[in-house]
Amino acid sequence: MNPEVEEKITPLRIYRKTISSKKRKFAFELLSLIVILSAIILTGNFFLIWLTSLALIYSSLTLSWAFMEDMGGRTSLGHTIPFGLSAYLSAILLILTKRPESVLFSWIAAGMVSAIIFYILSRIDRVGFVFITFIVGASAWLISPLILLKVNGELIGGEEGFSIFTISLERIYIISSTFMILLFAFFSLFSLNYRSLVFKAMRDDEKAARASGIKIDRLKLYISIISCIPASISGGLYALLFSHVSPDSFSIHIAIFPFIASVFSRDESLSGRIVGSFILVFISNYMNSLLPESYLLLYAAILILSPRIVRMRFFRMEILGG
Amino acid sequence: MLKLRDVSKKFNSLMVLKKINLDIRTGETIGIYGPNGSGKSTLLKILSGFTKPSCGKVFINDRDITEMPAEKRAELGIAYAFQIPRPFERLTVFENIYTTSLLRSDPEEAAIKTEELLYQFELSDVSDSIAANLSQGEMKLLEICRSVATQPDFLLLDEPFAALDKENARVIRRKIRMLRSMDMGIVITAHRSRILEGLVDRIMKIEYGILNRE
Repeated sequence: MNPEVEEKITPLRIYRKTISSKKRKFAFELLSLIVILSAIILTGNFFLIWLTSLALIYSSLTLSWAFMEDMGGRTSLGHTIPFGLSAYLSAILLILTKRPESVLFSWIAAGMVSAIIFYILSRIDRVGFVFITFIVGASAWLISPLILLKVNGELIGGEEGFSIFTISLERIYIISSTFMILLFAFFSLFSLNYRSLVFKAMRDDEKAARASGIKIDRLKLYISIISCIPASISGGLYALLFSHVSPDSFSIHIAIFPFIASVFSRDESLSGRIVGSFILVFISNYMNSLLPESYLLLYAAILILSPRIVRMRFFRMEILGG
Repeated sequence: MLKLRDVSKKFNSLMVLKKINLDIRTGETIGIYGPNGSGKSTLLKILSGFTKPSCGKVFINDRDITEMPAEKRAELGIAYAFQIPRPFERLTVFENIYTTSLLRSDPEEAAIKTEELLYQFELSDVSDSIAANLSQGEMKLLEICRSVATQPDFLLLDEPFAALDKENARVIRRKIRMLRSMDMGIVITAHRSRILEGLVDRIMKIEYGILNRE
């Protein structure tokens, strides 16, 4: 090629090239995901489809959580609020109205209520946000056994929770996989779009973002809504998968699940977080079959050994000079 | 015109600024120097909206903006470059400038504007570097460049020469000279007056919260 006609490498060209390469990577990941999920349903293996459905629901929760962290710089330990609230609301409305379409209303309502809670909490600084979301989520877990319903003169709910009708596993699988694929596509494309830059700027430095003219309060509201509604839908699907809702929907292990599923993935890698969620669900299930509740040991080990936590420890040592 | 009228600032019992009056016109460069704790940074923070005055008023083109937050002042054309650079750390240099340019222009125009600014501020070679990995001098340049990307009428530079070696300070001086041709009001703070000589139209001294014309 004649060097005189060779195109000049400019900052804009480098930027566009980087975005194009990220788009190609996304297309490959999306296609792989569709192929793998289609292959799983074709196996017809009930247990594999059930476990994959559970992993898909957890992956959706992780992706919703990741949106708040990647775009808002906020680590939430309280995504059980939309998740559990939606599960409970879906069950209660299904029992009271006996109308399947009422779950749609409960997903949106629980998502919006949670978004308002998160928006208010996002006014607290980042470290405080981690603690306060954990406390609010844990409080919901403690309060949930108090939720009782009187149906035909009989009290239901409490520690045992609510049982709802069963829908076919294939249907749940298709809904969960479609939802997770759509979520993955939406969040990935949003992250590659120029509109995400103001969110990322706020994530990196709220004060500098304000100095540039970025209205951070408005962005925090968008982040709360966009993160809570999918988390709420995941909670609703969780209730449908088990045909049962109990205080466990608000449990601490669900609250820390997205964090643990993300610790080994590279920054902002959504596919890495999906893989992390799948590995965690499959290994937890296997460990549980050996010894009940032993998956908690796995969670603890990951938390201690995770690169992210190790990085945080080094960072603290540097600050303290220790 | 950006104006301060009888602005005072008190932190607990300490009076940091005392009845400051200041007019900044577009096209004019003002240098303010003073020792540590004299109130230079507080003055710029009051102008940019990051700190509210205890009493007094701030005006832009006769509009009272005393209660207006920083992000709205940025929209009105007041840009603030922090003393310690605060880049958007996980974004590249290009994205840092592009993000700010996008707030004023459509994507295509913002991209072209970003590229122009990167060349003007000699940052084109590091355009795809993550901002957190830049040297101190490059971070200072990026901080000023990002402020300029907001297309301001008034640019507030908080100690742009602080913590820089001679070579980097020279580069920043060159860039400030370039900015002077852009028809904006510029306020620069520094520890000593010598560094401001030949760079500004007016030099003022601030000491014990009182602003005096040299």
